[in-house]
Amino acid sequence: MLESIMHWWEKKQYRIAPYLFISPFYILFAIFMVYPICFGIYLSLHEWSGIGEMAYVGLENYLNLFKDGDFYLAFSNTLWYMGASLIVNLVFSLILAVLLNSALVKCKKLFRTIYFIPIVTSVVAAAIVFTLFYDRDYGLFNLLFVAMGGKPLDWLGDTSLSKFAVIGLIAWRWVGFNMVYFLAGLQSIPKSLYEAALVDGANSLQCFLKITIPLLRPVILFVMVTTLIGSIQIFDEPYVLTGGGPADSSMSVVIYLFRTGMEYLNLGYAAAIGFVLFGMTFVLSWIQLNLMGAFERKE
Amino acid sequence: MKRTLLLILVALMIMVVVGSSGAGAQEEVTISMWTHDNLYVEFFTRRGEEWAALHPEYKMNFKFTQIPYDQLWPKILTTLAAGTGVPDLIGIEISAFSRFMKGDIAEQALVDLTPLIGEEKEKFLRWEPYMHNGKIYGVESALCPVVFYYRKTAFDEVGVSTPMETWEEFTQAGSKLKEKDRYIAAIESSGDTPHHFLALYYQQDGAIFNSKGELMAEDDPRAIQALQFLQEGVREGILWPTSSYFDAPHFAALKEGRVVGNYMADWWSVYYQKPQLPEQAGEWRIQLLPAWEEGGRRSSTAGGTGFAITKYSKNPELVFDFLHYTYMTKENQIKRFLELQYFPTMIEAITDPQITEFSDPYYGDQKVGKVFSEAALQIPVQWQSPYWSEAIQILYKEAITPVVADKKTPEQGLKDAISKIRALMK
Repeated sequence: MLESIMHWWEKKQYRIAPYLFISPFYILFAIFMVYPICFGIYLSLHEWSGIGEMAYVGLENYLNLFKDGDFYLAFSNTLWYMGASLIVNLVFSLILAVLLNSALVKCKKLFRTIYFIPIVTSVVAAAIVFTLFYDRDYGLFNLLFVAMGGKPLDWLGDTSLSKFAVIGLIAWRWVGFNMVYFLAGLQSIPKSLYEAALVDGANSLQCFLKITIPLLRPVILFVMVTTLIGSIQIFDEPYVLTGGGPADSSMSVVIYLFRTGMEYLNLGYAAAIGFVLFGMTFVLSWIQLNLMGAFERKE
Repeated sequence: MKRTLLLILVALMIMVVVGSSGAGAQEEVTISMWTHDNLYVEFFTRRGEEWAALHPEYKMNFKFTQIPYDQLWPKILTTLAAGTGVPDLIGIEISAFSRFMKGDIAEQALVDLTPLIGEEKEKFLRWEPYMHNGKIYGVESALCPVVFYYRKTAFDEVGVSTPMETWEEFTQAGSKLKEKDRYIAAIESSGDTPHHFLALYYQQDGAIFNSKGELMAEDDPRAIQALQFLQEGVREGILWPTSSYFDAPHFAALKEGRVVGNYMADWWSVYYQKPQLPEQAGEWRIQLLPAWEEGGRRSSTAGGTGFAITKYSKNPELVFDFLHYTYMTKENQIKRFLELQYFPTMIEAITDPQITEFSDPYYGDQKVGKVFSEAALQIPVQWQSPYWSEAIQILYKEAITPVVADKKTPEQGLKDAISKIRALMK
């Protein structure tokens, strides 16, 4: 018996060994990715509160989602976050990057480091500081507003302002990070192109629109897609800043998922939200990549 | 040679047997507990040492852990689902208990304490929040009677005589304080648990859910009255609405003297007031809640934590003995108040002179124990429901936040909230 196994191994080991060498990745991938995803699909077809029996409900969880006002609210808030953070992250990051890349700015490395600091800062700590900045009565922002003759605003307590407060924190956190990508992109554009354009009489705006933007396209695409995916899954910033409130006005889809799963213990429903979220992310990224021509075949 | 080996072996075996039977007099037991509140860790640790001394037959190991509130429930749920790593004792904060009522998790995961408590039940107030299907799953850690905390110096300054008897007097006092740019109380306009609404509603014997879990508050004039009180208070500039009630902005307002009062439970004092406002020691007092009408109830309730034993505990009876020693003896109920200022639930302790005669220098040597004791004896009953977490979110969203912001009438707010809660319960 043992001998026959040994014999078999002798014969096949050259074919099997490579698979064994790469197997750790696949085993871990199966345990931590494939299994949870399959279990998630299974869970989304059931009603379950964490322990005990699961009750099969078919597609009911998904159907209920389309009738759920809270889900629509979370969904529209998330789309709002997505749009706003795309604008903020593209525009401000690019402007910052162009400024830092220009010959006028000294101490580039210092600025680059400063702008990068938010991303290595704990978002919870930052959010606590921002909560104080945003405060209606004692906040720094309102202090400045009032000094400029404005009226104090209840950033975190007013349902129409809470999303702006969240976007402020998002901008602080991510603009510097994305700027680094743009900066890298800008530095890879050959100077000779600009020199040639200047010789041909182009002004700096024309240079920016005709040289910088087209050549930055891959970077813009990358920043757009990562921002899009990041903002669809936004959780930390609104959760620590407003907890989704007031009156759910800043609740994102992931906050709703967390609440449904961990507070209300409707784990099946939460799993269904998760898959709808995945669908959203997939479709939106695909559309975006398509619009940007990422799938075009280069002749 | 073989014989010597054998002899050594036998000798060794004898030593092991004798040794273990010697240690057998002291069986090793580990009791673990998870809570969100570090004061409980301290209190349980001190009582644990005393209790262990009463049981020399065991070698006790205590593992009491504080886990941040938001992380505690996912952690408990995961360990319950996995069936390993579950602690013996869990401190279940009152609004989190409803999660255990979902899908009868309580029944599957927690020990039914009803037979263990037995007739002693009558000696204590407040089992209701931790009951499900008629069974008790938790021992309350603090009665949480609500009183009115006020900065007496500010009230004296405008010539308001304290204590105030009715909410009407409260409103009048608020108007006088307003002239000095002071607010009589802060209220939370959005957050996790609408304590300020619920306390006023419970005070009038109101209930969101009854003992059978049925929704009660529909078109309830008492709920409307409570909402109206908040709305008008904010509109008139008497109540200070904030979304950061337990955070720095509110403490800043208190420090500045912009807010000079609060109706809150016993834990407000030890958890927030004293640590945040040490410089105002001596200026504050407490009084019973003003009544809605003369002779009406002067008390309400906000918060609480029930200690439950999990079914995964290896020694549930021993753990209950420990819980009983710590939380269900008169002596330690009194100690809990003297050490932590969490008010007793045991009627005998509530009326004990050590409590009623207790005076606190922070409150100008007022006999605060007596005020709490009076509030405790008329504390309203509070029932939970598996839908509690959802219900309080909806109450905030549909009723309290918009009503306080003057965007809805109290009637409309309540109607919207109740219809949403009802839809959810179907």
